[in-house]
Amino acid sequence: MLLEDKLTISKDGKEVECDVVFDFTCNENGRNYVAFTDHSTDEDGNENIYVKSYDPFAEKVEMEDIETDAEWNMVSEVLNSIKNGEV
Amino acid sequence: MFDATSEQFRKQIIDLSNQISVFRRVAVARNQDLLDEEERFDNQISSVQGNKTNIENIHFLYTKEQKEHISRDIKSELLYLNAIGKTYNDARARLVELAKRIKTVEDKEERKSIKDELLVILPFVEMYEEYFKGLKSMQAALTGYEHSNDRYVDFIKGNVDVFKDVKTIATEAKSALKEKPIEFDINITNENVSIMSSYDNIKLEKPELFDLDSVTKEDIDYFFINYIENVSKNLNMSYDELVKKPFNVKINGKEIKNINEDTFADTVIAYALNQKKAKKDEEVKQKEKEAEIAASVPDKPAEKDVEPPKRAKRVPKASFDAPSETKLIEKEDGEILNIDRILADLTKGLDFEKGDDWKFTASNIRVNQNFKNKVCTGNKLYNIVALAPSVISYPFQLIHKGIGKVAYNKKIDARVKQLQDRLKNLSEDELTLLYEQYKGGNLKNYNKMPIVNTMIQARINGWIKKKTKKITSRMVSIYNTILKDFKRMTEITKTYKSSELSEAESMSLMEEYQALIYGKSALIKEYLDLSKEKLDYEVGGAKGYSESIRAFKTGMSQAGFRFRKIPKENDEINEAQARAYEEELKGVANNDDLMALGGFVKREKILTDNSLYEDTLFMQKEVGLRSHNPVMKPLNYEKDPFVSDLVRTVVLVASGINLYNTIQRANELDNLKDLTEQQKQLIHEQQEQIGKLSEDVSNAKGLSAAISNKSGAVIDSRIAQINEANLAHTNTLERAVLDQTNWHSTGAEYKALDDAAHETYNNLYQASQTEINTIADGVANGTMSHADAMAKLTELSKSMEDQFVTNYKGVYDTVTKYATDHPQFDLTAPTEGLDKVISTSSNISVGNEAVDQAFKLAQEINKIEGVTLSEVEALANNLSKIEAATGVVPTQSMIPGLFNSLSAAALAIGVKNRMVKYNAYGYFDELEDMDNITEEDIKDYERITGANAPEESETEEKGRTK
Repeated sequence: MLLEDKLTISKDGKEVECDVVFDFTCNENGRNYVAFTDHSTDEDGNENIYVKSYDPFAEKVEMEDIETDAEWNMVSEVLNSIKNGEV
Repeated sequence: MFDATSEQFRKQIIDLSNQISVFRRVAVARNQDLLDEEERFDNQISSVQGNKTNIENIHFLYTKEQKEHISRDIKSELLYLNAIGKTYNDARARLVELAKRIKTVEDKEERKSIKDELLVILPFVEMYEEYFKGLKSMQAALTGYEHSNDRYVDFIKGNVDVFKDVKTIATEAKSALKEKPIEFDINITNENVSIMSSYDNIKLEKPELFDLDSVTKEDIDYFFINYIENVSKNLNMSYDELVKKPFNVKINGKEIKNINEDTFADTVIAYALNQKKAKKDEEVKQKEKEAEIAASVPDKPAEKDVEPPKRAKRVPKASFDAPSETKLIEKEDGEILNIDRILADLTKGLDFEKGDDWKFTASNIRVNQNFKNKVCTGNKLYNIVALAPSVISYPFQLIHKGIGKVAYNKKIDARVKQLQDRLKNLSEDELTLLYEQYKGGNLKNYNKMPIVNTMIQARINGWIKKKTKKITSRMVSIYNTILKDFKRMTEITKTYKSSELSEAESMSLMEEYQALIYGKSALIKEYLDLSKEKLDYEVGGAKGYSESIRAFKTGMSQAGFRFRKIPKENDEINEAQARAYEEELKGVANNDDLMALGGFVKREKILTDNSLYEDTLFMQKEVGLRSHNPVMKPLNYEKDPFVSDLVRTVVLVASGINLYNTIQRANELDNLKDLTEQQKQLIHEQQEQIGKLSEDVSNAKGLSAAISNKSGAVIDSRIAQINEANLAHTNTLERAVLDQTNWHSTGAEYKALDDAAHETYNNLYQASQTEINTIADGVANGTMSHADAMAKLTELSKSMEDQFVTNYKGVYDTVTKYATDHPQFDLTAPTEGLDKVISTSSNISVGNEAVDQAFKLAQEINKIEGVTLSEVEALANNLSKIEAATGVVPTQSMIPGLFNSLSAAALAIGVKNRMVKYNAYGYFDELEDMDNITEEDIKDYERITGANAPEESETEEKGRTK
């Protein structure tokens, strides 16, 4: 499925528009994960991707940071599977 | 004549109707017998004469005895009817009367009433008449009966006529005649199933036998078909015609209804299976019984030749106690429970793989095409950043609800679910075995997959929690009982001392006093035993022992615990506590209620009197010699603010100051009225500024759930708070390494920094909290105006902020150096957080100034006293209210700031509202307060009861109750 969404973040006091690069649902906890980038890079020149998660069934949707190893590993695996053309 | 409307008469009629109905049924049965007898004779005759249906050719032989017997029955029934004849007459008369009345009465209610009465009386009258006539008729028919065809025919005819009047009886008799059932008499024993069948006198020569253990449905079906075929041939009927007859099936003498061709075999087999099971149960019980008997009966000594006495061998003394009796736990199916069995059954057929341990998997993956192209070419590398900036807005499409739990990894999920179910269904015995044996080195004997162990751990923890919860409840109950009773005792003492009491009153009080003492040693013993049991569950074993000490030492998981004042030893208090405990234990051991109670109360008093706390904005800080909790809340190892403490302490304090400020702001917003346009504009600008500077309180999840968007602009000192989760994340790894290498030495540099920082913060924090509390109290009791309070807070925050920044900088340098020197630890998050604090630290005071100015502008506003958390939350949610209050439409940038101020205020209010004494421990709300028991009360107790000072005893009896 294609994705062409954008979202706005606040960075250093400014509003910055980001491209959503991928999103998915976690089977185990039912949360949706959104990866987005403002196309900024780190010191090695790698483009920064940020990830937030939210409960799609909550009355008020809150974007939350991902915290656990399991979540991080899952995001990495998704990115890898995109790289490998599996998605 | 009875009053036919009376309840009594009505009841009598109904009773009589019921009785007559019974007699009629008996008559039916009797007459059925007569008809059967006729039929039987009919068949016998016809078999000779070849004509079944010609009744008039039948000779019906009735013996004299049978005739007399029937006569007697009829006579007694007639007598009965005569006996109730008066009632019948009354009822009949009433019936006639009602029948007349109902023709003339118009009123609905009255007609209904007449109808109701008729419904009771009419059946009785009809039944009585019919039955009476029938009996009379039979009596007449039997009189002078002789063995003759004509008389017999008349007799039969007369009976039939009678039965025609009593329609039901005749119908039943006739229908029974027509449909003879196929009879199956089945007996099921422990050995076999025997079936005896008959229809129309075509019986099996002998019962068909089947072995109980091996009989099958096919066997029964085969038997049935054979039988029906044979009978139908004999009777010149078709198979289908015969199977449509009613079945009369009895199994072990019990009639089984609703059996037909299709259900016959299944029913028989079902009963056979029941018998098999019963047989097996019997065998098992017998075995048990035999085993019991065998165990109790000593073995007969084998007969031996008498041997000459031998020199007695020297048997060494056993160096250990005799082993305790091995208790076997047997399951329902007879298996002996053991840990190997439990574990084997838990994982049977589940086939977990190594990678199954709590792995998160993704589905419904959507990818941006451009991104995909870039990624797949491999020309671009990506870095997933630990800290994501706040999201201000997102498109609706992003919220794709999916289809619930779609695309589950079914393979893993089903197995996990199955294991969960199996764990859930473990019995109490099984759980106990797991808890006792499946731990430590024993785990290696099973080498289970990580996921299995994780789930077993979770199950056992849950089980323990339930147990300890029960224990805790009981401990609370005992504690409260003891203290309540003691308080009552002190009241009695006071009354006794101060009032002029009569002898009776005095005696009554003393009796009550005695009753309160009674049984206390047993209660206290239970309390002590429960404490031990709870500890064993929570911290059993050597590992638990070490963990608990470490947990206490590092002050993990409890906010503010690290700031506690660690007291110096007080020998006097220690000694007093030890003596009190000695007394308590002696009392318990000797069943001495007085001593036990005295010791218990004294010890509790020492513990609670020396457990001192200070209420602060955010936490309760321990400052006493003790931190007593009568029900021993367990020390939690799960959270470890080891690293986050470094920054969080500062953050919390800084937040506290600003939040307190914004409490006032929140109070005022709702009542902004009659401001000039200029004032409103100024507020608008201030709000914007606040919006840019205000905090993200995403970690105060419960409260900020009311806020839909988080502000993009944050006070950077609070970013560290957001990072707290990441700190914990990185900290986990760090701590694991440090633990292995004894962090007290290799982390000395870090520890030294932490200690120094804490000392500084503690002093600073203490000073600031003192100041804040002074201001808060002043505002609360009206001795300080809001304006003054704001000014003081602004001044305080400015002076503290400078010191914070200095400390931040000091912390920053060391942390960054440490991170550089220890590349195995990822300290990106804390260093980034600190970086942001330092670079934007001036925002804190700017924010305070803005708040101060806004407040000054709104001075004409009425103050809201006692604002509640819900009000603030409601305000935060209610845009229109803000607009109405301020006349300003909140802008996109303003809203987050406004909301965040309010949410921060809500957080602060919420925290403050929750601050009650000892609440940090969670249990104390339920517990009786020791504060009402004074030293004097305890001395009085000792004096009166002589519990500890027998030479001063003034009681009539020492009261050493059992």
